[in-house]
Amino acid sequence: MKWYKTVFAAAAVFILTAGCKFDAPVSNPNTVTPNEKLLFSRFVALGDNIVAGYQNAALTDSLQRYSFVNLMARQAEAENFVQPLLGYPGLGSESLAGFGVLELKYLDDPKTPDTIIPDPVIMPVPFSDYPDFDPFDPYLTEEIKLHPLPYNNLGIPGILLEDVLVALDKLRSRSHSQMIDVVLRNPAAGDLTPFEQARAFVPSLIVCWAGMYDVLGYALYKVPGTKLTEPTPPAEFAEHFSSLMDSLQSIRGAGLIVGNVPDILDMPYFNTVGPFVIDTVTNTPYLDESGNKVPLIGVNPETDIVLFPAKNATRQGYGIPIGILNGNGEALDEDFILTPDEQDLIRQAIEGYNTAIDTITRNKEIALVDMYSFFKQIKDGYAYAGFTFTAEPITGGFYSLDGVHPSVLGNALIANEWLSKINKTLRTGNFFVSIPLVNVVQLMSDLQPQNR
Amino acid sequence: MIKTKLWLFILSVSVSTAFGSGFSIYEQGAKASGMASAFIAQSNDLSALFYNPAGITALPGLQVGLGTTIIQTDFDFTGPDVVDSRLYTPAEQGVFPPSTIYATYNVIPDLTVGFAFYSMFGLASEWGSETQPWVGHFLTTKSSLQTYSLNPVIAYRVLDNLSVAIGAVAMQANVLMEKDIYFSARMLEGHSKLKAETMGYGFNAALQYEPLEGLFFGLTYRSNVQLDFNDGTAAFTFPKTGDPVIDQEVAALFPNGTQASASIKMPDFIGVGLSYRFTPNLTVEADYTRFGWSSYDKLVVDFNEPVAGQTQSVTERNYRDASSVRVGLEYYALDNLALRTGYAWEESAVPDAYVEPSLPEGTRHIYSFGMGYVIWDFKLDLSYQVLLQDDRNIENSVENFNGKYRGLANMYGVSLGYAF
Repeated sequence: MKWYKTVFAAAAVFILTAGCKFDAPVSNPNTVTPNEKLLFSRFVALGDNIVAGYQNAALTDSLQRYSFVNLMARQAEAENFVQPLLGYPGLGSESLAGFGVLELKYLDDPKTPDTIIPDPVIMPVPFSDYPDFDPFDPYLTEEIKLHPLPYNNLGIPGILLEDVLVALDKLRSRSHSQMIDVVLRNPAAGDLTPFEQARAFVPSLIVCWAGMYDVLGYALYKVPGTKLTEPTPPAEFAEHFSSLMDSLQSIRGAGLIVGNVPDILDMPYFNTVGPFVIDTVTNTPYLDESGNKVPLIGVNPETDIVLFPAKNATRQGYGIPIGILNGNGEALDEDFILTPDEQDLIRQAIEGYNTAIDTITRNKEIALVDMYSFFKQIKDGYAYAGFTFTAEPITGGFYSLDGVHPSVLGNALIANEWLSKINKTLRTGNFFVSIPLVNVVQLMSDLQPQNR
Repeated sequence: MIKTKLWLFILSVSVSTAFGSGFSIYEQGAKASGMASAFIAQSNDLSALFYNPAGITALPGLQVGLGTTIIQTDFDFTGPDVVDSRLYTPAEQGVFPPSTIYATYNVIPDLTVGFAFYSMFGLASEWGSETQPWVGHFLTTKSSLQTYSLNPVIAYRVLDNLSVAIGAVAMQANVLMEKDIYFSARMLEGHSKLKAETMGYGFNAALQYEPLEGLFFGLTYRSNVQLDFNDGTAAFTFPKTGDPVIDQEVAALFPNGTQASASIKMPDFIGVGLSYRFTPNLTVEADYTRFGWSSYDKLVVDFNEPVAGQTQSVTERNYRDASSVRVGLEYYALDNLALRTGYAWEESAVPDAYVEPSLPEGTRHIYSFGMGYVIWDFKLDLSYQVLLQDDRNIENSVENFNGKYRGLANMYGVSLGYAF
């Protein structure tokens, strides 16, 4: 029986030696070149809420670190990208009432165990729980507060587009956002506007994404500055945008990239609370004796949009007819409702802004990131390596708890959109820039409690 | 003694991988494999039970055979573009031995019965390890499907030059699917593991015709096999966070064990072949085969308890029917030593948009070499095949998981037959 041993031995040798194999590719994962680092060496960001890293209705260190512009800086290995980091629980829309950032207490309220649809409990964190936090001196550290240069991130929550050129402080601004003082630090900083602070920096790269608040400030129920009585008229917006672009282009030697305005009405803030009375036991629409849903008083269920904060009012009985649940028979405050006319005004404003942004950036040859289309993709479901981001509140993954501003992962996806555009359009010397994108899968792992 | 060991070997480690189109395995005998499995017309050894059971009417007396194919795979993925178009991940390398047991018995001169055991479908893929991060872990970390078919056959010689066969198939199947999942409300990563096994039934039929001396025509058909996995288990596990509220939410939303069911209709198969013996020493064959993979349009998994509020998970697959063309050649260098070679082209079954890492298949080219040796009443066949898959650049993945898949495999076949 020796013959078969010989054959098997030969076969074994064959297996070990003759088999084909792949070599790992020679090219390495994307890394940042010295020229690319140079492009981001004096990187400044201008704009409103999302640029600032506003999330969960507040600005606070732990979330500002994931502002999309900070993530961009991180990807480009920019070492000195300084943001006006605020301590916990931060400043936001509830700060005048003594609260900071929103927190998801319960995904499903344990006080109402019989709900069919989960009723999440989202609460702002009270300042009183954090006695070390001073809302009048909210900075994370003295070092940040006294940073001797302008902040690289000059994004200011609640400002209008025009404010980028004119705002000096809360009072000397169009929007009167309290955040202006926190970010600009005038008059100590020399009474410079956001634009002037950026220019004083001699920037190498400018990201500017402003204008969303020109319509959001009208649509939101309550805003940290002055609630707008109407969106900035598109013609006026176009003028401000044009002069802002002229000003930014006058800064020599700086790469410039700007974004347009998303359709805010796709955000969960405008799509979470329906027009009907909700049964507090099941958290599904309440049905009357004939099995019909009952519209909230003051709401046209066919056409009106009810804003997210209306939930607090309906809990107290507003909008609910007497005799149903805890109804007090009073109409829901019209500020909680967007009528079709108001919705049209919002849509026209966004369309007008984006037309202006499109035309002006094309004429002036400025790189434009189409945030409008990107936010539409999110609404339709955006697949990323096996996880699909949607515009669903809380579970969709893209939006933070306030239903307007993106989450940490949302910011990472936005950073990738901007970086992709930079990679496609900007050059260092004769080479296209190729900054590695944020690996969102890796970020998800890094954010696990055991890895944090 | 040797035989017992072989039996144990075959029965205990029959794991298999995807090497035909979709997740079919067409390497079921070392003689055929030496000719790139262009064997439907000739079908003149025990592996005819798989390739064309009508061929067993030519096998006298009682014959038994054992065989295995050691499949050594090498797959990698570069991407996805949405993360980094240069990010390179090799799949964990696998070695898989789908094995066969064949027996035939010539009952009366024109009637032969046969029994076959083989693994016609299988896949196994594993991505990521302690040392190898895997960017696609929300798509798949480990997948395997194993099938074991028992296939008794009756073959009858209708005319001197025409045989037909019919058989019944019982297919046992085990499936395992693992991947990571994400609970976005709490930004937590967990793991899902689905396991199921079932039994399905089908039939097969075949015909072999020799219109001229040395010219053979073969036709073979295998039916769909419906696999209903009814008693599977789905387990979802998350690491403890230390926050009792969150841990309780997770426990409420993701059952650590619930019943899961799914159905997969395995494709039917049709093959035709033509072979000609040019000289007593030289035979050439060409085959065309087709797997009806369009039967696999979606994977629907139903859960007994809701998982994150859902009782069903639907994954579009949209496979398409896949053809292959095979040519093979056998040359007798000595009376008892045959040398073989062949080439096969296999079309992919998975459309670009639905290619995902659990089955990184594509259009393939197989180059084969083999030899057969007869001594006393033993027949020993050896084969080596190299499978080279066309690089597959995906640009329209429905999962936005675009990038480049590469794949190859080395397949070493050995069959041993004995005629009593």
